Amino acid sequence: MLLQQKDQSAFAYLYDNYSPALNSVILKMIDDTQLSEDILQETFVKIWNNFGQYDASKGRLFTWMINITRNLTIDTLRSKGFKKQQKISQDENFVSGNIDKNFNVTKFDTIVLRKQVQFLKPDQKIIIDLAYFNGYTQEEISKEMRIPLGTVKTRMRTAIIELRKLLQF
Amino acid sequence: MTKEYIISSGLLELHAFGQTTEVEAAQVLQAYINWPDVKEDVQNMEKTMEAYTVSNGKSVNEDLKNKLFSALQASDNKFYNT
Repeated sequence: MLLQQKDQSAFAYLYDNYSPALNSVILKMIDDTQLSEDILQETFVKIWNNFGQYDASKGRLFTWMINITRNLTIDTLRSKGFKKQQKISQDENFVSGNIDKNFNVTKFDTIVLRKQVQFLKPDQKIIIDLAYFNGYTQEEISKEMRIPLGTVKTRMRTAIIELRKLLQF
Repeated sequence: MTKEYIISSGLLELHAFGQTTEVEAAQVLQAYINWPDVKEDVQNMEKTMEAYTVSNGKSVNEDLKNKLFSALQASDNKFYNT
């Protein structure tokens, strides 16, 4: 991949296509625009510096990037003495999701996706959001939602299957 | 490790979320070798979560890109190699 050769234009492409998505992950956890921008910048610096460590056989590029984003955000929150928090925001801005096939990722129609995601049941949405956006472990979700660990695992699986159906993959 | 175990373990979902430890990830990657449909399942979950996140994207301050690129140019001379 071009990024492994440290290609600036490839990196710019990556930034243009993924920064809104990664930004949304940070903003789910942090209600501070300045701090979230700092974390987003730090995230992309880390992506640039560590791209050689990305291994496509282990997972999608996006999964690797979101993991960096989430960990940096959680580390920042911890360093500032925050506890994990979930910030539910209603005013999500529209973004276009043009993703080029050069990166072996999918081009999404975000308008269609947004409409479909609304149909996800609230209890399924919460479990996905806590794990994916807030980095909660399955044990933490079990405590937070007061449901058995086994139920968390089952519900998480069901929720992803339901989401996939809604997104029509 | 049986296929039923790995499917009900919650590890596949964790892996699709990018949250497995090294040991857990090794278990998942071994499952990929044993059962190709498990790999396909996880890849579909990853793709689903990517689409979900992209659909929730939040616009970014346009100045941030210039700030980021200036910082990278200052710290890494390879950044000019286009």
